[in-house]
Amino acid sequence: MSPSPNPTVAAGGSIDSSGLIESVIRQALETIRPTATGLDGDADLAQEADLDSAEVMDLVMEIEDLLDLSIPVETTAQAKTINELTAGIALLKQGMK
Amino acid sequence: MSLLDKFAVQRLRQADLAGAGRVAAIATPMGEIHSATSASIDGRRMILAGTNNYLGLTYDPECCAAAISAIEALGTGTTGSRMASGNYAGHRALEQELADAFGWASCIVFSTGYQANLGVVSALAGEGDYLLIDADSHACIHDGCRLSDATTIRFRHNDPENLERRLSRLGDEASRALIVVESLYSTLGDRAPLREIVEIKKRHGAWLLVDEAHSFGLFGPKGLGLCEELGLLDDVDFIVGTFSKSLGGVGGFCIGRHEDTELLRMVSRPYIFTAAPAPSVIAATHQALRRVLQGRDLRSQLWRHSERLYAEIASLGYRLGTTTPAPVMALVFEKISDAQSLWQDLFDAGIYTNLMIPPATPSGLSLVRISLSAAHSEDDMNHVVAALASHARSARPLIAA
Repeated sequence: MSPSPNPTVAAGGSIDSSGLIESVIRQALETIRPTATGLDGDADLAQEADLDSAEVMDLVMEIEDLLDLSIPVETTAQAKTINELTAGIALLKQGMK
Repeated sequence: MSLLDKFAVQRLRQADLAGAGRVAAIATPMGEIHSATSASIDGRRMILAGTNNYLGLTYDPECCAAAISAIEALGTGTTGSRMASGNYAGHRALEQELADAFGWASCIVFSTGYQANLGVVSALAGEGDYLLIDADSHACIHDGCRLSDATTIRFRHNDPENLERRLSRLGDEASRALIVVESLYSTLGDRAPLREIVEIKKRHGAWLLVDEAHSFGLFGPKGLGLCEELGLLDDVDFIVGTFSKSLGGVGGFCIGRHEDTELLRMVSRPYIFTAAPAPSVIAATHQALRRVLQGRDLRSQLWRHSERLYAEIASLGYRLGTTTPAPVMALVFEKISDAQSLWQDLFDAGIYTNLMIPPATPSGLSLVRISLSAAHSEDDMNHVVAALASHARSARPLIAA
């Protein structure tokens, strides 16, 4: 299940670091659940930010728009925290290089 | 933590439902069924306005007669897969008639509508392929993606521009991408922008599957669905549908424009590893299909009901899930309790509808969903309108928003 080579995203290499991915996730949270933008990186999004499964999908789509990147469902299926989301997306972007 | 501990939330919810002292809105226990539009619940005779029995064919005399004679001739079940002993003449004849109605190369019948999407999506897209699905897709599409080895990418609900951006990122790989959309989404009753999606599909050389579960039998000159109505049958690759709504049976189908669709039988696990539908179900469904292809009278009646109720609901000040009338319509609320209150008032007035709450709904909305039937009488319709008006009077401040 390797992600596709992606010229657009590969060219915009400045957002590769985990720190930047994490800040984008927090920016996306601003839209979905503003009260949760300062959430601890290891906090469970479902429990601590009260996000149901549909809202987590909405969050991922916000992130996709902000990063101009398609994030396969499989990449984030197991992610429960901001840190896990960050790690998944970082791996995805690494695979594209 | 032990195996069953994870169901704590469900246990609580089940206790809530049981302890309410009222008939539950979820998994409502049906008593005696009287007709396509009437059943007893908790000993009371109710109008059924939440069953997706769009054409009311579950009690059609000819469909019933076909089922009875099939049981007498062929028995109660097939006890075998289509790939083993369950490949009956009736199943093949139904597939042929469906394919002929579309003028397409192939039709495959599945044992349920759920399995049709599960079986087609998972078999069409394999490792290295892409599934681009609408974010609000039915669970069977999401589950089909999980069963598939393809990479699944969601796009925003009914947003062609969002879909196109995802296809663009795939570049040449778009030729390995299957776009999956529903023609009519049954939660809000809204329609996919199929013309735009077809244009995008063609531009990028991708493939398109349209699920017509809630539109087959209701739209189009021959009743084949929204793709037929919009004149898009030459541009869509696969159409999936169900027997358990307008056709009043149970089962599902996939119709393919390409001859290779037949090959899915060899690889689709939900097709291979389950028993073929009972002969009675196939016979009743086939008769229901003939009834749909025969003429527009039933769907015209359904559309008269739908357009009337749609206008009445809007004029009462309720918020509707979509601006285009459909036989399935959603009254939308921000708060779960407001939706529950309407559901209960309708129930107390003798009308069964569907209550839908997050996370089974988009955007955290709560809904009361009404689905109409050609078999509803004018009296039924008057009663539904009166009950909605009565609730609107008592809850005016709540729905005025």
